[in-house]
This record gives sequence, C-alpha cells and structure tokens, in this order.
Amino acid sequence: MKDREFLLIVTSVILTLIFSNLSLFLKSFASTPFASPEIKQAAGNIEINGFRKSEQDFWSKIKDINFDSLPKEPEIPPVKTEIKAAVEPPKPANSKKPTPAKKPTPAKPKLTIPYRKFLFIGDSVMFDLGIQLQYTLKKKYNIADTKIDYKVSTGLNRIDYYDWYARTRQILNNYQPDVVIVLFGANDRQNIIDFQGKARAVMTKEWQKAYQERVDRYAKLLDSSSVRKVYWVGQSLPNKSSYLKAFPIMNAIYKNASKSSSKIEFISTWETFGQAGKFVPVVANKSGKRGYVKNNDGLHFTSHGALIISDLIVDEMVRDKILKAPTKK
Amino acid sequence: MLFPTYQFLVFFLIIFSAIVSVKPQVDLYKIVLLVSSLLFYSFWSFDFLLLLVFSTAYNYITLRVLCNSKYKKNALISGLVFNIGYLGIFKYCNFFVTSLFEILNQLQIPASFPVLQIIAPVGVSFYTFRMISHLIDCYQQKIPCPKFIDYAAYITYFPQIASGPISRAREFYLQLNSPEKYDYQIEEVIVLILSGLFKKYTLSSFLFNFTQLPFTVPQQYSSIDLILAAISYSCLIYVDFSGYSDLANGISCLLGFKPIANFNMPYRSLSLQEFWKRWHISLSEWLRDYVYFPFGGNKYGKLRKYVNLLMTMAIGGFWHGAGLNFIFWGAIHGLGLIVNHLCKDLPQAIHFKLDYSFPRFAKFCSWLLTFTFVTCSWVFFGTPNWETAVIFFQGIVHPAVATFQFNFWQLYLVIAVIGAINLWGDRISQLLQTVLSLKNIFFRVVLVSLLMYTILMLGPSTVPPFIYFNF
Repeated sequence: MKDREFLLIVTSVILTLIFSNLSLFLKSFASTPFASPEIKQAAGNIEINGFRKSEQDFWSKIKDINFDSLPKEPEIPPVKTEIKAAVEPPKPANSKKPTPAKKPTPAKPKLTIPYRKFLFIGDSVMFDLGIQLQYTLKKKYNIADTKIDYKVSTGLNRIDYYDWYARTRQILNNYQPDVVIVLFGANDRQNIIDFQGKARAVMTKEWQKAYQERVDRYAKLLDSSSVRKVYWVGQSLPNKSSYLKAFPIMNAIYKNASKSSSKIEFISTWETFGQAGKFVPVVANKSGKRGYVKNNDGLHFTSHGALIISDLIVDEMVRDKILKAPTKK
Repeated sequence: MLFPTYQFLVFFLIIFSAIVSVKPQVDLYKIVLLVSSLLFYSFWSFDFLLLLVFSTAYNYITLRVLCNSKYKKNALISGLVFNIGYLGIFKYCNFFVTSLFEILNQLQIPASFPVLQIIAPVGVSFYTFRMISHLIDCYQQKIPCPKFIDYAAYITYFPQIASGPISRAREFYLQLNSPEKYDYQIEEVIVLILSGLFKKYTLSSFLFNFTQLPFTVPQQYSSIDLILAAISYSCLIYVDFSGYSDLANGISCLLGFKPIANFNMPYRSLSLQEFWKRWHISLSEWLRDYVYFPFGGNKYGKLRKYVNLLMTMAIGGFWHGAGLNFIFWGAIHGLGLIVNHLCKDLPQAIHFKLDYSFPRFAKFCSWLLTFTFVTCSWVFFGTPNWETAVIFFQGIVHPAVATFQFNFWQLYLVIAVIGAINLWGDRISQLLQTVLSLKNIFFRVVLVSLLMYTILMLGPSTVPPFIYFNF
C-alpha cells in the first residue's frame, strides 16, 4: 500500500513538473537517448531565457574577470616578436619637422606589433590544454595575458544548449585577443539540427553538411574579428572506440573550414598519440620523458598529454613568428 | 547511469514497480534485485560487468573453501591477495607505471617498454572493500557462509555499488532474507531524495565552478579568492558525497533496506576525532574494524596506537586515489588524530583551563581549529598534484594577483546554507518530514512539486560528475 502511494506521488509530481514548464522539460529531455529526432528538433527551436539565461550569464561573468581587471605586471617586459606590422600606425599630421642639419640617419628598425593576448576557447578538453598553454606561455615566453574560456559538455553542435557564437562574439569584443586557439568536438558526436531546422542523424552525409555549416559560420566569425591569428586544434586519436570513426570526419570538417581564411590554421594532432592509426597510451615528450597522455575516459588529456599537444601548438606559433624563441631565465 | 538523470528515473520506476509486487516472496525478490543490479551496472560498461561477475565468482569460491575446509587461513590469504591485487591492477597500476617512469627519467634510463592503460571499473574500491570485509567476517566466524545469490546481491547491490555507503554483510543478509522489509515512511524517503538532489544538483554544481580553476591554476587568484575556493571545496565535497549518500539511502529504503548513516553534520565537529565519527562514517568504521584493529589498535601501548593511527589514515588516503597527494592527505589526518589523542592523553593537571573559564569561546576555538585543519587538508586532496597544492598555499600568503574575483553574494549564501545544514540539518529534515507527514495526498504532491521545481530551477544546465565516482 505504502509503495503504491509512493508511486502515485512520484507520478503526480513528474506530471506536475512536466506541465508546469513544458519547454524546460522538452529542452532537458532532448539530451536523453529516449528523445526522438522530432523532440530534439522541437527542443532546439526553444529559446533559452529566464533563469537558464541568467545562469549562463552569471558563469560567463565569473570566467570573464580572470584577467581583464588584473593590474599589469610592469616588471615583465612585453614580448617583442619579429613579425611585421600588418598595418603601419598612422603618422600624425604635420609630423615633418625641419631638421637643423642634414645628418645621415641610421635605418629605422621595422615596426613590430607584439602578440600580447592569447585566448583559448573550447570544451572541457580545452580546459586541460589551456592550463598547460597558459603555463608554457608564462614560463617560457613571459606572456601572462592569457584567458581560457571553456564550458563543459558544449560544442558547435548543440548551440541551442550553449550558444558559442554569441559567447565568442562577446568575449572577442571584451578581451580583444591577438591569438585564438580553438578546440571543439568531444561533445559534438550527436544528432544535429541544421540551419533549416531539420534534425539530422549523427555522422550521416546530411549531418556532416550541417556540422560543416556550423563550423564554417564559427570560422567566419573569427575571420571577421580583430583577431590576428587563429589556430584550430584537431582532435587527437582517442582511447575510446566510439569516437574513432567520428573524429577523422570532424577533423576534415575543421581543416576544410580553416582553408577559407588566411588567419585560421588547422593543427593536426591525430597521429601525435598514435602509431599506424592505433592509440598509444604512453608517449614521450620533447625531453624524452614518457607518461600517460589521456585520462581514463580516453578523451581528456593528462597533464603530460596536454604538455605534448601544447608544445606542438607553441612550435607552430614560433614557426609563424608569433612567439620569439624562449627567453632564458 | 547517474542518479539525477531521466535514464535512472525510468530505470528505477520499472525496477521499483517489479520489486513492489515481489517484496514478500524472498527468493523471487532476491532474483529481481540481483538482475536489477547487474542491469544497472551494465549501463556503465559491459566489460566492467564481466569483471564484477568474475571477481564476485572468485571471491565466492574462496569463501566456500574458507568456510568448508580446514585450510581457512590459506583461503583467507589467497582471497586477500586476490582482492588487493585486483584493486592494485585496476586502480593503482597507472600510478605505479607513472612513478616508474618518473624514477627512470630521473636516473636518465631510457624506458621504452610497452605499457597498457588500465581503466578502473566504476565502484571498484567500494565493492572490493565489501569483498575483503566479507572474507574477514567469515574467517572470524562472525557470519556463516552465505548462499551465492545472497552474496551476489550484497556485492552488486546497485544503490551502493558506485559510491557506497559501505554496508556490512550481516545487516544486509538479515534484511534481504526477511519477508518483513524495512518499513520506511514516505516522508522520510521524500526528504532523503529531495535533500540528495538539492545538495548535488543545486549546491554542488554551483560550487564546482568556484573550485575547478583555483585548484588547477592557483597562481591566477588573489589570497581571499583562494581562501574562498578552499572553503568552497570543503562545502563542495560534503554536499557532493553526502548528496549521493542521501539518494542511495532513499532508494535503499524503497527497496526495503534501512538507511546507513554516512554523514552526520561533519563540519560542526569540535575535534578531528569527532570529525571522523561524522564524515564518511561507513568508511571510517570499515578502516577501524579491518585495518586499525588488525594492526593492534590501542592494545599495545600508546606509541603503537599512534603508529597504527597514522598507518590506517595513510591507507585510507591511498584508498581515495592513486597519488602521493592522497597519501599525504591521509597522513596529515593521521598526524592530526595523533595530536588530538595526545591532548586527551595529557595528565589532567596540564590541561589548559580555557574550556572551564570560557566554555563558549573554547568551543568556538576548537571548531575553528578543526574546520581550518580539515579545509587546509582538502587542498592536498583537491589539487591535481603536490606542486599545485604548495602554490595554492603560497598564493594565500604571497598572492601574485590582488584582484578579488569571487565577491558574489550567491557564493556567500550557498556557504551559509551549507553551514546551516551542518548546524541544524537534523532539525530541518525532521521539520520537513513533519510537514510532509500530513495524510492529504494532494498537499503532499503540491509541496513536493514545488520543492522539486525550485531545485530544478536553481540547478545549472550542466551537472558535474560525482567526485567520489573517481574512488
């Protein structure tokens, strides 16, 4: 009797909750395996507002203040890089002053604009990598003005759940980074709602087209901003069989999107932790030290794995003369 | 499959409906319970399920040998070796390999031998501990050799397999084999489930964001931020784990088992000894009965008692995670307990008289000292490695950053709420139960819906995983 009464209460509470906020229920139910493509499609079209919106804004606010309001550290000289300024600073009007005597002046050094601000964007996988990048940039290159903007369980697929376009636009405006490093994909292996509002089953041709559209749109957003260089980091070989098929397809999509802009460069990390297409759990870093590269979930980097990938990115930045050779202390 | 998910809700409603109809038929009830547990565990991974079945079968064979042959001691040793080896392979192998690489790197010896990455099955520490205590209980003839179905139902019991509480075999079998199941009160179960969801879904998810970055890159935070992050972590680990225990207990009640007290307002403790009587009670008692006592407990003099305490706590620390920081965390708790015992063991004449002159002030000082000690020790527990923990403490004393970033009234409110739970949790729970005990079902539905709605609305869009799932 008591068990039945409890079941009755539970059922009544569930029904009350569903009907008191149907849109919230639909939105959360759409993330479960039980939801049909039609439900996912309907949920995708529901706008996030009210409390959910203020919750996202609240966390964004906390993450935003990491470096924006920090006092600059005068003891650390700014890093000078060898890259030529893309645009020379405008000369002030009537800047020519009469010189008292003609002297042979030494040739002026070419003006360089250093790359000072680095932004790392992505999901929880980027969090592990971003921490290592921050550490390397600070320790080896004296660059302290870096920021990680990550959100767990997000990506470019479920923008109805977390709108990375809006978030990126906002952070680019507020932080004005010189270099952006992007890593997405770990949470994107799920059905997608394309730009016509239709649900597409994961990894089908239609899915790939819709996801390419998402990625292209994001690439365009970065391309049209004031960012000077973007590195799009591809997924590395996972230690999880369910991702083995998806990641190469997604990497091809990121690579394809990066071709559309001279600012964006795709960094392939696929073979970094692999041999002949097979995942290798223990890999040596630059100094020959060996260690596990991925956590037990097979996706997230260990600190050793993050170091290897961050070295790869940093090397690329040195090659592109965004970073000067490491300063020796 | 996590508890606060739709998948679990559907799973449980089906299981509960089935169990309701077979509760009085003990044999059928056991079968339904075992099948449900195996099904629940298979949702994590089929490979993990096979390992669990293998380990259960091996342990049961060992138990039969232990109970029915004259080679009791050999059977016990082989069982213990198997279980410690099993735990060592699945939980500590990666740690040992990493440590070996560290040593070889230090010695500049090339290490090119192939290694595997072993993934620990969910709840491996919890179910292996249950297997070990069962072997010892049978060896000491505290319990008779059970039937296989009873043993399998005990080891795989799904509400407790992932994160405890670590139930004892004797109590479990008594309840399992009785046609009269635990007579729960509906309001008791509702309060446990609401409390679990509120702690996990609302409070823990909120605090997660204030601890993740400071515990990874403490050099980017000011002194006051780091202090707030440390307090937040103390609160987070409490609400996260006790929230899980509340949910597990609520579900257990419905299945016919008495709830196991695992947390009893631990942050109101006035000493470290009291803290360990209130924190993760089922583990503390397990360590006392199966590690501290076999080491000799307090039977061989004070010095030996202190050594035993230190060793038990260090083992407890290592059980929590494969890392030197966990061993250190356990060891400093061991040292704290030794100091605690030393103070108690001092002759009465030397005792400081503060507690007689200013009893309230003395109580406050004791509480502050205990809470500060526990909070500081969590830093070693929560940071990824030893170096980060040191940077964390350096950052509190000599901060690299001056800007105060965590000045949010919501954070202070959440800490205050958790403080209130630790002070008056039992009274709040009792009050809520009294309100819900009214017989009007309509009133109950409205009130529970309202509370559930509030919890859901206050919860975030992403719920982080349970911390104790890593152990």
